[in-house]
Amino acid sequence: MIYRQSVQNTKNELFSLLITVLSGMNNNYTIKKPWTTGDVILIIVLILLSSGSFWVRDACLQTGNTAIVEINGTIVKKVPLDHDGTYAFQGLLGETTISIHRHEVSIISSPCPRHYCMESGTIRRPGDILVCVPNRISVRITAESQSGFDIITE
Amino acid sequence: MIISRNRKLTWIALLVAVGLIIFMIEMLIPRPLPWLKPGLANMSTLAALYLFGLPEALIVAILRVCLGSLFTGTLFNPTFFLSFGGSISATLMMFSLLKLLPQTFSIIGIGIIGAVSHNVTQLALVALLLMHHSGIFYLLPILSISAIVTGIFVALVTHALLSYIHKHLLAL
Repeated sequence: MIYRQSVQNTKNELFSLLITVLSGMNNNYTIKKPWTTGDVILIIVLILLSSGSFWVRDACLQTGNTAIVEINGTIVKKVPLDHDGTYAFQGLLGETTISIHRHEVSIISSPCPRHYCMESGTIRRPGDILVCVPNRISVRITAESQSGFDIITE
Repeated sequence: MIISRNRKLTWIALLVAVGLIIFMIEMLIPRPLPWLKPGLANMSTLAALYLFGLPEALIVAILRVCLGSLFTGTLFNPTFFLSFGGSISATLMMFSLLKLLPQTFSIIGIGIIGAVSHNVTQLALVALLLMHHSGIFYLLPILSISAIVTGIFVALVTHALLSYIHKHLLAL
């Protein structure tokens, strides 16, 4: 009888615990009740800050330091972005000229018919890529770290 | 709350044990991304902060991180220092918010601040110690938005725990 009563009590307590979790309300809780206006304001401010940092974070990012030029899938040259200059590469159709100006890479002349690669603009972030499909030339930017590893973890 | 020394010791041990169990269970849950963790183990620190104060909360946080990494075999490797620094900064931030603005925020706000500062400290430590460049802050918006969600969840669970403790266990 006593055992059954204690089981019943435990069930009731578990149930009230569940209710407390779901509703966030309890009469005997002497500390402040949840969901004050301060909480809501804090949540809104934090959400605004984090969505704002979606745009801001681009400014904090490191730019790449090497442009890798591939012709027909094979790497032909790795150009450091430190010095300005123009480089010409012989592709399938003819000569494609690549310009490096202030750490930004662009294709300035190409023999391809539609010049999509020239219209792609400039690239400067690691992972960005310029492709000229008819001439089989692609330029991509990497950030090669000094140690050779991006990160070491287990 | 004035309680005896032995009882306090027992409470701290209990909170560390509960935090460890939650931490170990959390390791088993499959996650979409390896670093996206609910951080439920933080609730033992939060409960210690509300039940006792800053020193006890720091003791609970440090013991939980050290024992947890001992159990998972990551003691004194880089990830250990990340979680160590994150936990301590979360505890300090939660305490200072609790002391400075006690009327403004409920346990929800405190939990959110704890989760967000945990994530921000971890990212800063990764940028300082491991990667040496700021590319890791790409993750900041994702991490802080998920920290808001997990912070609310942790705070609600801790609220339930504290209510339960106040109702049934603290007839002191």
